[in-house]
Amino acid sequence: MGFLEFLADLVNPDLAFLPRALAVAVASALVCGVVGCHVVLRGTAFIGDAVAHAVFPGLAVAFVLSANLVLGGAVAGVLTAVLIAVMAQNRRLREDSVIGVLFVAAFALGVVIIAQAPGYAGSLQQFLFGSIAGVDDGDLVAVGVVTVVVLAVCAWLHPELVSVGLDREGARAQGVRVFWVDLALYVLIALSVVVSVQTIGNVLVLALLVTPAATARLLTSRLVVMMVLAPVIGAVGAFVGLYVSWTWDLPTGAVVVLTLTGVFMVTWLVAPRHGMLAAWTGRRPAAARGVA
Amino acid sequence: MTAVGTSPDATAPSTRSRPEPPGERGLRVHGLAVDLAGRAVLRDVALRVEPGQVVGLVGPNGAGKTTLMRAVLGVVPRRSGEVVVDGRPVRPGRSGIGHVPQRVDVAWDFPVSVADMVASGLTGTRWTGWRPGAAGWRAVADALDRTHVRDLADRPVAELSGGQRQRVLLARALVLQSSVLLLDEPLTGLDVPAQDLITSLVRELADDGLAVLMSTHDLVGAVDQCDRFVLVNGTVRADGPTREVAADVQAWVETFRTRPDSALVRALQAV
Repeated sequence: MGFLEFLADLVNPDLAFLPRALAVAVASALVCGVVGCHVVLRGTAFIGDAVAHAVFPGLAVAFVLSANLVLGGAVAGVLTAVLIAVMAQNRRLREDSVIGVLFVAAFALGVVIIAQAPGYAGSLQQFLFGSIAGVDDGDLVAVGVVTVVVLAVCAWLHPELVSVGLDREGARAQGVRVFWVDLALYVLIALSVVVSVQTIGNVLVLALLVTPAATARLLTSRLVVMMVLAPVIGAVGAFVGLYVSWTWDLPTGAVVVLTLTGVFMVTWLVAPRHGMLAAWTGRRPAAARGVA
Repeated sequence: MTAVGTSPDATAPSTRSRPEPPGERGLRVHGLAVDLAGRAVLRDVALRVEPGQVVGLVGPNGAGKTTLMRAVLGVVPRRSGEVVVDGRPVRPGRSGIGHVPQRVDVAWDFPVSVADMVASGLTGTRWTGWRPGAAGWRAVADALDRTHVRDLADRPVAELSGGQRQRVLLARALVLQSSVLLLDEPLTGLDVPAQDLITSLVRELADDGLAVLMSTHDLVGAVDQCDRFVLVNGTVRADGPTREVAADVQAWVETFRTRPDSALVRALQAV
């Protein structure tokens, strides 16, 4: 099947789930791209992973109760975000230990809950690896609202997020409420994950959060440019991934992730200033060579 | 002498009981005590930094120099005591004091320009989500001018040398237009020319009327760089003009728990 047939399928009224899946995948790429920039710059990919897993029990409860999945996931994700932020205040426990404890527990809880639903093996696989068939109109509205809210909060809190990312103690000394900024970021991560979980899947969503942002970082030294590039790269990856998976009947989430990984690898090799080829040919900036 | 619980007369800094004059300028710390994780780190700390002065905060590792600065900024809770800037008590976390942290505490790989980093010094001074307008960016440009890094304004911070980074952090502290500046080991890890540049810059800022408190491990160099020494180890062990304090063998022996014939004390005697 060619690309034109894929486009024709996108507007075929009998295949209405396909454009819905595309819309959700692109929305996921937008929010994960923007939020992912902060995740990558702070080096908190582990928190992204934790929140991604912690969303699972909420999805499971919503699934068992036949409630809205986005809402269920959002409640669980936000609760975990608050728990991580509060427990990480205890200086005897390192943040990564807290996360390690919480996210596996949350995931286990999700598995126990979803096992209560009849025929759960199929739904489990759908949650873990994503599916393009499951998006209904209610999800579409919920994803739209969450996307707008996440992007608006990111724009609003941008100065605080940058200031804390640059220098936590300095920000605190200036009167930035670091705890609340951290909490806001964790909640933004949770919401980005929730938006993405249906099409990309719970296990694979971390790639959507990290890979486009990491790719964008290789291409620019400007935060604003990075925050435009990452969602664009993610959206293109989501579109290409959906096309490939539809055409060759492959699992969507996995193909999107592999597409993004391919883009990352190519960028890593050929990025004009920060790529490996630039390093080998000596065109790398001085600071990157460690002589600054 | 123990680090804590020292009787006040053992320290006797000259400024301890000075009454607050009307229109007082600069930094005054009084009766400051700080506990960290249940341990008494600082007790009964009193010091004064007048406008135009560079005061060297000196003590061994773990003496509480950084904690003292963090307590002044309100980043760690004070058990007791008062911090006064220009005659007004400082509210914790709202000090408005210019602060240069140790360079390693800053994420230099963050993709922002020098101007953006300096502007980030204004975040938190107003409401959440506030960003600098024309006046804020003028303050940024002024701060860059004062630390002679205006030409680097558009440069990514990742590409700066150590000395340039230190000047950018100074600019970020200056953008608050505070009359007090705290510098946490600004010379550590810099080569000698960069150290000279920072030292003369700090002197320029003091000459402009700032009150500067600077922690340092280059004790011999600090004799010339600073106007006064405050020796700290749990509390203030000595406080006075650098050359006077440098000559006070007993103060160094007590503060650094060293011998009177140690290399440090002999080097200070030779200055």
